[in-house]
Amino acid sequence: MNRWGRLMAERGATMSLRECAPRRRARRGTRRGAKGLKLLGAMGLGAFAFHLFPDVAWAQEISSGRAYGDFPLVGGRVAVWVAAQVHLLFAAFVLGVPMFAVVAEAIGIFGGESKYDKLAKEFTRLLLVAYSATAIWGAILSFLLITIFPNLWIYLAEIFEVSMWVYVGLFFFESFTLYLYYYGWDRWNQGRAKLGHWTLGILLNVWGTAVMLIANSWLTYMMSPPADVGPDTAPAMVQTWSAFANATWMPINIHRIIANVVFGGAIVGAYAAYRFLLAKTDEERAHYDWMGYIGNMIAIFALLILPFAGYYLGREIYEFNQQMGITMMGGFMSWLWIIQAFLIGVLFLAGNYYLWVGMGRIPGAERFTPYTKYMLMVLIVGVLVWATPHTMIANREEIAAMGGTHHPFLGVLGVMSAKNTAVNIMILTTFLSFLLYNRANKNPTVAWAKTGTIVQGAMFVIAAGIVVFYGVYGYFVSAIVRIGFSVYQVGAVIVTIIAVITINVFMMRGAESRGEIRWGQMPARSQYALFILAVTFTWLMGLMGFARSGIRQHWHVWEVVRDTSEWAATPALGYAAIVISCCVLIFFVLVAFIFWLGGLAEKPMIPQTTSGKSSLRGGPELAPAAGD
Amino acid sequence: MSGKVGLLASFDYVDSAVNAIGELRAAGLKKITAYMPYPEHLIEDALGYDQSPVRVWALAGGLCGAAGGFAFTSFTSMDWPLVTGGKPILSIPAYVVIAFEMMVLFGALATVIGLFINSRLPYIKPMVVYDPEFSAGRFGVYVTVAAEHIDRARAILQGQDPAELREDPVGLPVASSGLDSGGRPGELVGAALGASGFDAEYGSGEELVGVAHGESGSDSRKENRRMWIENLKIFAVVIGTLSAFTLVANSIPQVQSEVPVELSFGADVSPDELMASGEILFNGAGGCTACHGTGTRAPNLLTDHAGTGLIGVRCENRVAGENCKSYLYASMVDPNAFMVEGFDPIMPDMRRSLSNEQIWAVVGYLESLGGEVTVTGADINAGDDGSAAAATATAGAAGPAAPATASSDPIEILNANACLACHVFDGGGVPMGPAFDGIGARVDADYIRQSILDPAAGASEGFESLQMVMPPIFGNQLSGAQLEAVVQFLASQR
Repeated sequence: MNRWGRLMAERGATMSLRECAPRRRARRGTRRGAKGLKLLGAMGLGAFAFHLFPDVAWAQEISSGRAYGDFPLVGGRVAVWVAAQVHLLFAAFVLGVPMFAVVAEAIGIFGGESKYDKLAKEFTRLLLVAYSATAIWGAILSFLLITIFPNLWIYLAEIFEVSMWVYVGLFFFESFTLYLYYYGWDRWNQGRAKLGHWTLGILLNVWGTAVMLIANSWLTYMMSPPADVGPDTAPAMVQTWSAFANATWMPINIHRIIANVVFGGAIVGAYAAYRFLLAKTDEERAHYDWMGYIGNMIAIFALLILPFAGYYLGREIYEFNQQMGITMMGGFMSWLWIIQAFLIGVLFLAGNYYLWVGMGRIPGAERFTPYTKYMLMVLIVGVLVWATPHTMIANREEIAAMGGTHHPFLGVLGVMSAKNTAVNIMILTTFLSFLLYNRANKNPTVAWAKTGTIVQGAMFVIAAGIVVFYGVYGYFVSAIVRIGFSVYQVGAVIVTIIAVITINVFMMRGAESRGEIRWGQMPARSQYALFILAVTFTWLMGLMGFARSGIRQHWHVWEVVRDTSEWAATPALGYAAIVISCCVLIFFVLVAFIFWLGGLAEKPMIPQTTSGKSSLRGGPELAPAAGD
Repeated sequence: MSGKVGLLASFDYVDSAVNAIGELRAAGLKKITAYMPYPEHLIEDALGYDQSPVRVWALAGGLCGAAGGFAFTSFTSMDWPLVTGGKPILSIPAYVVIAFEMMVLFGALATVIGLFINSRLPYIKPMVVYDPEFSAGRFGVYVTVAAEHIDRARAILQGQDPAELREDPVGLPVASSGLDSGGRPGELVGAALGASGFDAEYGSGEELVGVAHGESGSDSRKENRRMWIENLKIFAVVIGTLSAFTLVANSIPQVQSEVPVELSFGADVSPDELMASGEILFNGAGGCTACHGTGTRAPNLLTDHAGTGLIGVRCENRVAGENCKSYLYASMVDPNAFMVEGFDPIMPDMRRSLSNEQIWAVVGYLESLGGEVTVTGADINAGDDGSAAAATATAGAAGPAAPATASSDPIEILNANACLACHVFDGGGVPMGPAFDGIGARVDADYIRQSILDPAAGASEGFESLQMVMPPIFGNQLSGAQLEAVVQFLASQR
């Protein structure tokens, strides 16, 4: 048991509840920061809880002396791990989907395209059924934490109690805003009422994001507690706001917001793919083909910015604690990044494959088809370079087997110069795929179309040249200079993407159509690519969750509360992969089930009205309506 | 739906029903439901049924049972291993009987389950289009058609001389979507069916009746089949993707982050105890290898660094006034005190993650890498601040390294200078540099001598990339007699 744990046990054993109260109030008086937040919380839910359930409120002062509980078969760690991961997957979905549901509704309102409004409603319907699953898994996680890691729970609760009350309040608001948003869709669908409805969608995002920010503060505190908090610091003495806004809080917030959009897009894409494959009519097939395309586009575009948020998070981890950063990137987790590279390679390949197959339903796209094989080659080479290991922990036997601390040939490809070059070229190639897809059935009519196309092409070439130049140059400079080169490489890619899109928007104004996109005429294999994308995104989230949590190693709270349980050792990647796969499987089985339930809700039961009695021997019955 | 009607024909003879079904299907009318008082395969054939899929259930169940039997017995043997008569723990022949029984059990259960599922039993939906005569000897054929084809269908049914022919607009929805919603109705033929949903006026549902659904079921059956195939494909894609990722993650080197083991040393702790504990910490829970095992973020403590030798040797000369153990201890508790040139100050204060005993154990291990372990119980028990180390430090110890041993026995010299940390000899050592076994047959004594005194002068074939790992310190560390003893000893290894 750590020092704080012992302290808790001693206190629990020697103090009566009556004695605890004044001492606790005295401690409260010493806390600084976030007074407004605390006041609000205390006047609200907190006061309510205190007055109605005083025993519950003080129960944390009683320590049972049991440091850890257990869970049958899989053990406490895996139980909490699975509960947290599945909860997080559902939570990511219900936070990501409202973002583009609101955007889609706005396009429907302000662009006048009703199909976007229908799409937004369908997004929200998925949200509705996933929402309760999120709450259920949240409850499972909470109870498992309380029963398996009681000391940790008490420790965190004492620091974050106010934010926990606020969290519950926000969750309440979020739930009812969601119900209003979905069930009011058809009622408030005109004029000002529609704008009001759209505002509800925005509010839903606000509540959801606030809920996420609060939960993020708890988990990031465990990663990066304030520097002045040590093993002997009583939780009551931890400043609330410094614990809340700790070093990795904001980077995680940003990273998760973007990742939620990616994940939401991918799951929506998988849902659309499922409905496409089982569609009974051409109209249905066309709708879900289009929906799958939109979901995929959202996921891939958000994915393109995600690495930058990831770099920011990584940098902040290094800033907080070099050792933690090194453990993550070069310590026992170093091989994890090879797996990550493999997964992202799958994402790039599957995403591009979907686009290339999709071009088969676009009149005029055949003129771009010959280029796909070259793009495929570029992507494969990029993936291979990115997945090349470099600085790995090796024992003396392994160093001997490898012939040195670095591989004599692959070591050259494994360095950041080569990897940054590879990933930037892959991003450029994927963007090129999108551009070709976008332009496939369009014929620009502006006078400067040819010039614009040449400029766009030149920008691609220049960006690729800058990326490759700094990639090669990086081998001849010191590490500190080389790190700076990645800024130029990323900058060149981002500028190119923005500039090419801008040119394209103006160039395609009034463009002639080479023919309508034949939505629905997609081979089934393209839809399986969407499934692979969704599974890979989900697995990647599990892997990164393991990385983020695992770098704490045998600490519940980094260098503050030590994990003294039998599961304190952080498992190897192979074991983690099995747990992650189980989590993903559970998630997809549940998602399939609740989407199926959602599908049932689509089938209104129409009572038989023609006759209650037939000429034949049969009785009245209810008949399902046609369609699904 | 309003444009469709249903026709129910009741036949006295099975041939008439079979012919009617055949002609209806030939006319392109697919939504057919047949009723029969007993199982009649002619009607099944007429409706176009294929072979029963129940056998697939039996096969799958049997295979699962057998596999489960083997898995169960293997797991229990592994979980509670009992060696019997010297036989292996996993003894497959002994498991065959259990696996066989499990195969039979699961095969039988799966067959029954498959029978029920394919027969769509229990049948809880009301059978609206029904006549009790179908349980009393007559055969029924019910067809739903578009209104414009009603005359054609009626003509076909009339042509087979039905006992009764009726039109039924009300039963249509059930016929088209409820009763005929997939499955393998062929299995239902002749089965006892409690039609619990019957209207009381029209039948108690206690009659025995066989119902076979024709193409009215056939379309939806195809639809259901397609749905299940798609579901299976999607499931296979998901499982395949997950399996691939799991396999890849299990194919790479598996490194677990260990928890530092609590240590407690007495005053008489031996160097071997310290070395053993320190090595575990250094390579595991201490997290030292993340930086000190690669040589890029921090000096490599497992190999030579910049020609200054292994850490157990170079520590002695690193800082004037600090002996090896006090330098190493200070480097761990106050890392910025003695920064090595060319590296950033990224080393944390190890007291945050390791206890005093653990830190001293690591110091002992590092000293053992090329040097002698000088850490004692007094150092460890003196306090957390390393004051004992400072107190026992031999100030101004800079200068030529002391010999690791005074012995002239070549084996002892090799051991004392940690030569086997990189070279294999007589079944021991680490296979990093050239093996000592048979080295005399490969190179002569001069070459061995030069390699010891000046490793950078040349490397053995195949070991070029490891040339800089060998520290050039042994010229100072060994006496002339010791050097020659080692050289001659190695040269004699043929």
